[in-house]
Amino acid sequence: MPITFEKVSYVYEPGTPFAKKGLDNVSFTLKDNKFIALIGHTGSGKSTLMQHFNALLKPANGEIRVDDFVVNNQTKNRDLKRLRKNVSLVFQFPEAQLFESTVIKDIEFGPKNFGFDEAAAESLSYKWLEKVGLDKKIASKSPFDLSGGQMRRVAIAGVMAYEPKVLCLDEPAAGLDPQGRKEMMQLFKEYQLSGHTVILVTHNMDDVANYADDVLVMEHGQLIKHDVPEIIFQDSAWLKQHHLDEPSTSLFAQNLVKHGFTFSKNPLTMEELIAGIKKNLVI
Amino acid sequence: MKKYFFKLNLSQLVFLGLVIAIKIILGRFSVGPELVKVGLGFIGSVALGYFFGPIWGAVGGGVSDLVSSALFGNQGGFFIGFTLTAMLGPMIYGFFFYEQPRKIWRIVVATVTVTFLVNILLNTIWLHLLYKVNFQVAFNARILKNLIVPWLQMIIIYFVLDGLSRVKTRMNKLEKSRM
Repeated sequence: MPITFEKVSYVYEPGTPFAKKGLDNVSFTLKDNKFIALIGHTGSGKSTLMQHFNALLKPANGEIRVDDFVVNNQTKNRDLKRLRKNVSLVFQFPEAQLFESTVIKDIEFGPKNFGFDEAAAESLSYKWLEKVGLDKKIASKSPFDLSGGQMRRVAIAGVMAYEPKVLCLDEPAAGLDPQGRKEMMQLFKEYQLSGHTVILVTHNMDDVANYADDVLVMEHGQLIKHDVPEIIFQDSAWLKQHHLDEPSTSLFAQNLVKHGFTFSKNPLTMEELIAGIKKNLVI
Repeated sequence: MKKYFFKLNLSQLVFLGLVIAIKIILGRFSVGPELVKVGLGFIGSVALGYFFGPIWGAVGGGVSDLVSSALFGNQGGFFIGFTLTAMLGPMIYGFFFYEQPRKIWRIVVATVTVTFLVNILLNTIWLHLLYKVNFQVAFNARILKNLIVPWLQMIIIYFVLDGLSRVKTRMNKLEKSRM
């Protein structure tokens, strides 16, 4: 499902003294089956943009096309279910949305809502319960008896259970331990590689460097750059100017360069950094 | 009666504040078509009665009315009688739901009592006192709406109590782990 934004603008509380521009003339096209990272500092419009992907917010101006589905300011709410079955959001701290009496019922809620029958919903739910790294044994537990990390996984399983074609994640790994973080990110990468689009809103540039194929950079509601990570992280002066961090690998490499190391290209992942260092040491 | 008089500890007090806030917010919403619009404030009243019993529930109901009129204002100005009605709702729900099993008859009787006593009788009296509207006319106008809405409320309360009981189990567990 290719996603196209055409001159999309959004204003919060329009026509009031509190009116605030959320998005300003944003245009881009996302190709199918990519891992897209959405970055920018706090208040730059990332979350506003994300909520447009499944029309939780509708553009004040402009048009969004997801496959054949068109969202503009005329779109009616009752048409949106078809879109939301295919484009799903995982909000920040999604564990807050758990509510059912058991874990498995909570995961089944999404599939049932989108018309899967009882048996299909159940088997999908068990599948995703395991995929997010939880034991089948907890299926009949109350979600409120779980640890924070487990609750996060249950909530994410609930969104992935109906296997949306586009999955948008807002800081899905925030507050998880390093191991859990890695597992979650791997899960999303696998999901993308199995033929889905994953859109990740994040502040963590290491995740962007490690997983993303395509990066959108937001500032003050505007899209200021849309490119592959290699290009985005090429120019540290530009990044600094726009209050963006660099991946820890490129920061490390820059320190090494000060001590006479040379790198043929800016290392974005640990493997690239190690390979780059080795090359320097061989000589 | 004795079980209704208890001292709130700090965490219960904070929770009371939260439920009052929830009631105020819910009171701002209503669902359904114009003819049978159901305000959602009664869900807050049920929660107050369910968690805190009739006494503290009534206190919560009164506070929620005061805070809500301070924040958003009351249609037609402030009148202490409506604060009284706001206290009575949670109080009645408290008598029926606090530390009681969820039974259909409890839900029916509680809702009917609240509807009749609070929504129909008292609120009509207040309007009569305030604006000198003809009691009979105002009463009849209210009866019609209140023949339909309570049944919807009962269904909603049935499910709300199920949700609230889950919160309560969880709270009791936390309470125990603290001791």
